[in-house]
Amino acid sequence: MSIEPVEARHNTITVTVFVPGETESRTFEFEKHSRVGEAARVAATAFGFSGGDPTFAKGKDVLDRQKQLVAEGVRDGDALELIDTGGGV
Amino acid sequence: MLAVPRRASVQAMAAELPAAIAWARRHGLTLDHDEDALTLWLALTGPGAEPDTVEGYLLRGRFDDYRAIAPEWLFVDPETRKEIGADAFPAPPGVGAFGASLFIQNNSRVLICAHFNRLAYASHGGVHGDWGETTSWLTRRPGQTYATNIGSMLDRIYRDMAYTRGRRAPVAT
Repeated sequence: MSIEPVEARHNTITVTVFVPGETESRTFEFEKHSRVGEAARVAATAFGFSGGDPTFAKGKDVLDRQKQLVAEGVRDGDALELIDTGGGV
Repeated sequence: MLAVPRRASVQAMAAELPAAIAWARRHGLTLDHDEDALTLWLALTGPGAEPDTVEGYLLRGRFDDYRAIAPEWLFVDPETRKEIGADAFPAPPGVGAFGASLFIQNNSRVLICAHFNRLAYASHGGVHGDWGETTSWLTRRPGQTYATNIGSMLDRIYRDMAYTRGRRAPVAT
C-alpha cells in the first residue's frame, strides 16, 4: 500500500463521468486546476471518442472548456456529463 | 428508396434506450417509449415568455429506418401528442448552448436543425441540401453538433432548451 502526501491528494479531485449514450459511468481523478477541456478530452478518449470539442456539464450547467475544473465549481465526488460542444447550423 | 427491416430498427432503438432512459433519470426527465411503434417522447421544459415562468414541451422521436438514416425529431402537443406545427416548438433567441440554436424557422417551417434530424435534410423538406443524403448523418462536420445515439441526441436538444424564451408564435397560413 502506497502512502501519498496529503498535499498531493488535495490537488486532485475524483469525479464520476457519465455519457448520454452509455449506461456505464467511469471514475476519473483530475488535477483540480486542469482545464475543463483537457480533462474532458481525457475522459472522451477513455470512453473511446475522438474528434470534436468535448466538455463537461454539471447538471444543467455546461462548463467552460477554457477554465479550470475548480473554477467551474467541480468538486471532489461530483457527477459530470461528458458532452460535445458542436453548435447548431 | 432505402428500407431498413423494421425488426432491425426496433433492435437498434432497443439497444440504445437503456442509456437514454438512464440519462433522462439523471436529469429528472420523463422519457416514454413505444419500441413497436419506433417512437419515443420526452417531456421538456424551458423558460416561459414571461419572467419566472416555465413552458412545457413534448419532444417526439421516430426511428423508422434507424440507423441507416437519421431519426425524425420534432415537438408535438404536450397533451394530445398530435403534430400541431410551429405552436409546439420553443422560440429560440438565436443562440443556444453552443452557438447557433438548433431551433430554427425557415419560411413557414420550424424544425430542429441538426444532422441527426432527418427533417433538417432537403430531401425531407429541410434546409440542408448541402448535407447530402440522410444516410450521411453519422459524418462528423467540424464545429457542428454531433450526436450519434439516442441519449446524445436527447442531451443535445435538452441543452438548447435553456436558451428558449417561451413558445414560438403560430405560423401564419
